[in-house]
Amino acid sequence: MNELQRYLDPKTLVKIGRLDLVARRVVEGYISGLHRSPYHGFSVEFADHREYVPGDDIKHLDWRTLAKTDRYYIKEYEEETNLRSTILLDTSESMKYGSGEVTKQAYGCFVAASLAYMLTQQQDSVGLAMFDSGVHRFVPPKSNAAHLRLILHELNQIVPKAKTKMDLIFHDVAERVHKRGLIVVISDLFDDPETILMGLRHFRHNRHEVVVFHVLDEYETTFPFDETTLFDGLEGYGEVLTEPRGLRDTYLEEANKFILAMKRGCRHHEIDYVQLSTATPLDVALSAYLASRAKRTK
Amino acid sequence: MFGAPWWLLGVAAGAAPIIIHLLNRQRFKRVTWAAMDWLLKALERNRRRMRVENLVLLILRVLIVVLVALALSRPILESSPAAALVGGARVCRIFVIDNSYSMGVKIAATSPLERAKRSAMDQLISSQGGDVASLVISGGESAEVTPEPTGDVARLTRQIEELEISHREANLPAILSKVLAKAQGLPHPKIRVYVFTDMQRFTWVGEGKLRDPGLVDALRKARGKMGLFLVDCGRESPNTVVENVVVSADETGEAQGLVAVDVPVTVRATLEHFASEPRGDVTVKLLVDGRPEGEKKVALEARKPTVVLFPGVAFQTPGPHVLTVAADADALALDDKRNLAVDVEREVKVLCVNGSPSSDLVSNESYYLERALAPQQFEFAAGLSVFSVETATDVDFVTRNLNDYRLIVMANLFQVPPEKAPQLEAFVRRGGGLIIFLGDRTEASAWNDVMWQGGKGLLPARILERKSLPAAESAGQHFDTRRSTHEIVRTLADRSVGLKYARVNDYYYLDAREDSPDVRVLFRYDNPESSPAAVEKVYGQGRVILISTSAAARWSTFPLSPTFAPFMQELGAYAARGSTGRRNLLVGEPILTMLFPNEFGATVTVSTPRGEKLDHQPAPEQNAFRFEFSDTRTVGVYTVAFGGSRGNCDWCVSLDTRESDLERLSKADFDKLVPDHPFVFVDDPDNLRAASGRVESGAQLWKTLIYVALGLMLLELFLARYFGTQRGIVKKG
Repeated sequence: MNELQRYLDPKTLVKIGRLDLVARRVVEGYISGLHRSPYHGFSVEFADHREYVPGDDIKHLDWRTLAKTDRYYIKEYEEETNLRSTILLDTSESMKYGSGEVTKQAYGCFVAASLAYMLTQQQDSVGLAMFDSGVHRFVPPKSNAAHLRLILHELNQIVPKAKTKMDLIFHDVAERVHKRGLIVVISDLFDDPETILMGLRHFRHNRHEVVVFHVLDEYETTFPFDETTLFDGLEGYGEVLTEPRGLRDTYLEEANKFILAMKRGCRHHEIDYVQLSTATPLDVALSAYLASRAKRTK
Repeated sequence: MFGAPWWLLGVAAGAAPIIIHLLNRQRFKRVTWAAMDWLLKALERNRRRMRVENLVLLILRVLIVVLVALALSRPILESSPAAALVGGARVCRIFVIDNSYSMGVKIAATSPLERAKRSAMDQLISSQGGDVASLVISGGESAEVTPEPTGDVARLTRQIEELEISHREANLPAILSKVLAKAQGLPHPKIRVYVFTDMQRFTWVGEGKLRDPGLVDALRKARGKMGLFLVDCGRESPNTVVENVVVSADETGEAQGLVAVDVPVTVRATLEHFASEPRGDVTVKLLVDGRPEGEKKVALEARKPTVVLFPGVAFQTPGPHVLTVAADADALALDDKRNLAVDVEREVKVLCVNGSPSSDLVSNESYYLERALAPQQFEFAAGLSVFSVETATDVDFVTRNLNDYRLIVMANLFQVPPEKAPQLEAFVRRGGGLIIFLGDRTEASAWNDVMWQGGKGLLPARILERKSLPAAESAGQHFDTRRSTHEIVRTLADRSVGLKYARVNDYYYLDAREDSPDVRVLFRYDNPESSPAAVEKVYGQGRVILISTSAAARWSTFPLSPTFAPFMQELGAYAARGSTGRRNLLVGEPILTMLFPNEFGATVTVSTPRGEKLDHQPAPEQNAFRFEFSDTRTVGVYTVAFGGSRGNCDWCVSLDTRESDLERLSKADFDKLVPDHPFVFVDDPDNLRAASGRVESGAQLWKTLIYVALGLMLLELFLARYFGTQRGIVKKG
């Protein structure tokens, strides 16, 4: 593992702390792995002027203005994007869970930040909707560095709470995002599969491409408990004292049944479903995104 | 019933799995969990199955603990079909009951035998249908064994019920060895041997060791093959016994062979008090033919023989008399009195056959003999003797009717005329005494031909060559009595009559066949060959005593020595008494006498101490009749009414008093005596049922419980694994 790729490992990333750095490391690590320029083939549109400061590239100097006013202005462009992405990040209480250092919430943030960074770098516009029982924060898609900072700032402010109500949320977001684009859902999907799929279908109905990153902790998919355990349920489930050894098979059956239902449902509605463990390197998420984007931009 | 009830507390440990379960529920790991939907759905699906499985496992674990605790508490199933079911195969019980007379000691209105009988019957009653049992009575020489174990409980119970004290002592180790050897061959899978004993020391121990060392080996072989119970029915008790009664000429003397009419004798009784404390003021009575003759008050020291003397007892009439010495009764009445049959003679006629009559005193063979045997006939004032002597030459001897005499003394006879030999044999066989002195006229080969007959004749030893030593004082041989155990020698030694001072210069070598049970050497010479000097042979009911030297003073100084007269008195009495003279018997010894046809009538009746009158006919044997009555199992006087010239005659049957010492063998002593024995020691017959139950049913139930617990453990293991597999805990394959 080289230095950049090392930053794709969630355990390493969690130590960095700052999401902007995390996002940059992830994307650069990932791109260097791909050996492909991220700045190729995108056009920009003039947006505004600002005064030149030393260090700015002189090729962006507005020579015409210089000639007229004898002042140095730099031309700022609004990137012309051909993709509008909206990241829906689950911030419900269940995302707090993490058997190791990386919680699902942290991992979701890494994915969201990395995607936002990469999208911004690629001149795509990116928006963010954070939800639990409702959409408590919505940042409309834009594509500039300030917007990215805003998104990263929002991601840093997350305090997981409340229970997920995905169908309502998805309908809500679908109403807000009119322009067709890419919807990226990052969640542990702890809700009724039918309800979730119904919400996602709404996005498809609006001709959005949808990628679902199903983030689960490793323990949630292996249930490795042996001793008598008191499970203190998040999202107001209360406490359950049980012998996990006797439950493991049935639990795993239930988990697999859910995942299978999600996979089938997503496939049925042409939604990309990507199951991520909190131990999964982040390039998996980025690759999945790029694959979906490629479909979208065909 | 439980053999170790305190282990029942362990049943409480059955709560341990429940407590552990509950504690485990208290000791849990807390986990904050997100995927509660899946968990709750899984829980809902599993709840009922897990509950049932956990309950099954919990019940199994509780049962295992409870069963182990129950097994440790040794539960005993009383007689019941369930016990039979658990106990398995039918039981063969062998009851060995010591009924020797020490078991008859009365303590608190009961005796060890009664307790043993009650306990044995209790065991019999508790037996299941199909069980078998046998009874062995140990009081006696040989075990009386019910031939084969029988299922007839009623008959066996009756036999036990009717069991009485035997007047014999018991050699329990020997009997037990036989019983165990027999039990080994029984086909029954479950054998229980119950030995009921009073643990009297003598019953088990003789000369400081087990009376039958073979018992150790028998017990070793029996170990693990059968259940063995040693039931102690006895209790410590003091006991006084009249050990011995003799009649003697004086107060210090030994038993006198023959008692003369009107000659006062001393009755000498020996009593012993077996206890740790002395016993004072014991009244000892003497009865002659049932009439009181004397009474003494004595104090008895503990464990020390006390002699009680009744001097000056004279008998006015000749014939058989019975003396009885009785002490105050105690817990064991049987040995508190003892009888003695005494033959009172007006005179004992002796025929002295002189083979070498001579006027020379030194050469006269019968001179010293006559005076030694009947001093009163020759105006010697040395004392009264019961003997009256007639002297005959060898020629006269041929014509004499031998039945007129009780004793014949032959001195230096050339030979016994062959035509007289059969009469002489008949005389001895009937109980007459014959003493033979040799001399210079003795023709050894003729004697051997007629009287030795290759060991079948009267002569106790073959006469070999004559040995003549110089007359010098230093050259002679002496009698050597040091190694002799013969009663005559012992009696003489007790009376300080030493034989060793007599010097013998001429004698014959005798070839005594000591391997024959009838032949005994009385004493020997102190020559290098240690050749026999006097040899005795029991022939029929009589005795023949051969002295290898002469009765005259030419060959030895013996006739001149002061010991000669008492020696001849004792020897004469001993020989004249014959072997049938023993009318004082121990229990079990047969009444035995030889009879001529005119001496008994058409019916001979034996009156036993048990009150029976039994007809018992003599059997013909070599010109005479042999009367033998063997059923002398009871102590007391047996009167035989012969009906002919013999009239009535009494035999006194007495106890072997070794059994009277009631000193007991403790369990520790027994353990030391028979190390590592497999007996279950039961200290009280009333506890036998419980002790037996512990081994009988309890042990089996214990095993059964352990087997069930082991089975449950395996089941628990299997189920836990199976449930685990079902739940995915244990990897398949």
